[in-house]
Amino acid sequence: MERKHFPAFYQDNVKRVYSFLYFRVGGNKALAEDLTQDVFLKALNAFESYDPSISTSSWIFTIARNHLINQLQKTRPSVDLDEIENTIWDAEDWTDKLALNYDQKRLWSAIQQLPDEDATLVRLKHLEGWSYDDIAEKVGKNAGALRVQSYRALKALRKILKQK
Amino acid sequence: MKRQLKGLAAHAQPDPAFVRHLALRINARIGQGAGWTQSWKWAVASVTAISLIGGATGVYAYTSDDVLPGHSLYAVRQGIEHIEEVATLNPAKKIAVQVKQLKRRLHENELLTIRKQDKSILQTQVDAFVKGVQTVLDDTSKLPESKQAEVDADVAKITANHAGVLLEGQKRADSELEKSHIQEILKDEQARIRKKIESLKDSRQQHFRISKPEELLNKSDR
Repeated sequence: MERKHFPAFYQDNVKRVYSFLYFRVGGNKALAEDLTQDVFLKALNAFESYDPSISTSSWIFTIARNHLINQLQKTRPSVDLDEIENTIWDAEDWTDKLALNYDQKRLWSAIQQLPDEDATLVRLKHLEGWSYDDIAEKVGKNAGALRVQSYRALKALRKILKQK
Repeated sequence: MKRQLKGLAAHAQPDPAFVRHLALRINARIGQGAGWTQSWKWAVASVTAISLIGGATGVYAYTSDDVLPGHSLYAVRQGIEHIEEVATLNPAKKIAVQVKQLKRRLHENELLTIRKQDKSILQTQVDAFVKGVQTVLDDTSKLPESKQAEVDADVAKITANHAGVLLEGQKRADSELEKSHIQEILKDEQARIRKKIESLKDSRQQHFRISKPEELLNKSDR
């Protein structure tokens, strides 16, 4: 795509990319900002190779994921993204860093208790702001099926919270 | 449930200032206005220049109390403030930015007075302060009346504090000559601000009470 379309692309994706990085760097705002900036400047350099008809937002998230791994591997050479994702979501200490209130911590803990697929769906859709179409592209499922799954996941979440 | 999740998601939202700043950098690289007018190009170039100097330098210039008129980085601060104002399109927010910058001038002049800088700089600073007051009062006339009262109250407080700073400067003067020089600056400042207020409509004039310089000077002598 032509570079003149990049500002619109940036506005459409900046919040999600930031959110994606933020949750994977333990809630470190300054680091998330630095990484977000790097990702979009890299994306700008490669924008002419971007074809929205082939990949929608997975293109920018691939750049974000690869950049994140490269940065983290500077301090932890053997790291891979799956390991990072599991570590971040399970780490209780960084919920303290975020100064979550009591209800938010309960909610966070309840999300961790969902089955992995449901927890991932809730995180991507409701915490990171992905669309069902984008999630479908990522996980290889139908968007309609994901809507139903999300509805059931939120129902299960309410049940967990009532029990606590 | 969705509201609770939104509350949690709010922690992961980027700072709007960061989003705007990165947008400016991107547009500078592309070399276009992205829907903005041609007059923004220089603003974008300035921001890029500041970023290239080193974001830390720009931050230092903008926030440090050591960067006062006469300092090599003071022009950087002025550039950032100008962009800050120009980049704000909403009239009420623009005035809020102007008031913030007025408070900055007040703070700078307070530091200049305490540090007893070259008095020619003080005159330039007071001129900038008065011009800032005049601009804010003019622009505020475009706001609804309830907002006008709020801004006028703020400006009244800032101008009163500024007069206090000059009085303090007078007290700290090393010589009678310096003392009378600051007195003249204060008289001139108060006269110009009073003239501006008297040009406002009656309902707004009520928001201010500008003391005559003699009253201020008499108070300070007690």
